Amino acid sequence: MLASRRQVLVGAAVVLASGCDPGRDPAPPTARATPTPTDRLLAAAAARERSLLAAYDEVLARHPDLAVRLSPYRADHAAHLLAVEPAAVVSATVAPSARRTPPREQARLRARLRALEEQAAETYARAAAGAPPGHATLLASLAACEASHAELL
Amino acid sequence: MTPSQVLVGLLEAEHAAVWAYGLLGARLADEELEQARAAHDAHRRSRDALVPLVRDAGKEPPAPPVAYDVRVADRAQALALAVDLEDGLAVRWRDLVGATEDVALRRLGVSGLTGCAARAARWRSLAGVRPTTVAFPGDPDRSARP
Repeated sequence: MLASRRQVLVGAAVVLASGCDPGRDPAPPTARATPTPTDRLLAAAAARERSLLAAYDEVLARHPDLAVRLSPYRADHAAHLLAVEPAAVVSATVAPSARRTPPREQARLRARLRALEEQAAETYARAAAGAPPGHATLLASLAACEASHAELL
Repeated sequence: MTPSQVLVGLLEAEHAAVWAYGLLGARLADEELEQARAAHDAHRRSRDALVPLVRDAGKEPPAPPVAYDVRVADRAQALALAVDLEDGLAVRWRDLVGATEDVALRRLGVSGLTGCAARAARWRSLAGVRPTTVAFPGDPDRSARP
């Protein structure tokens, strides 16, 4: 009885999981068409913004005192992710703390984030050059925003 | 808007920026004056790059007016004007990206937009305006946070 209930639950979980996977979703055949270049462009941008968010979160988790300075940049990335993937879920940011990160360590962390922002700005700028008009302006704004982060980091 | 209309509007706005940075530099010192000089140079370069492009697009490049009706009384007004100039130009450079499929013009547009966004952020930082960056430079509608 217990085992069979577990099997049912596991089975339901598998169905739910496969239902969440757009690659295996059997439901609407039209939605399963081959991704267009625009789909791929937006998916790449979403992956990039997730990775930038993760980089900020990694720093903020260990150095919450840097939140005052870094959280606004993180908020920009959260807005970017939602612009390229409206259904994305973005976690809340870390609260500032009184702990002091030594200046040299701060400089090292900022340099790392700056390099990531510069790389993202260059990638978006290249993508904007060849994108369809509506997306070109969005990608250009993303490039410019990441460059402004790099400028101030 | 056609690319040629955007290019003409950009050239007029870059003329204004070159003039304005000459004016507001007089109210700034030290790091801020250095930043104003660098911005002045950047806008002169943009202006000079736009002149032949406007001509290539079949339009007569507009000459700068003799003066503009702008007054800058102190440092705070100078910094506020610098932020407004860069934010306004960012919109025009972004418009260029949207108005053309020509790769070279697109690149120029992205580069112009990026320069304006970086300078606007630097000016906001110097002026103590927070947040210093906007999520979608050149796109005020999308950048407005709830």
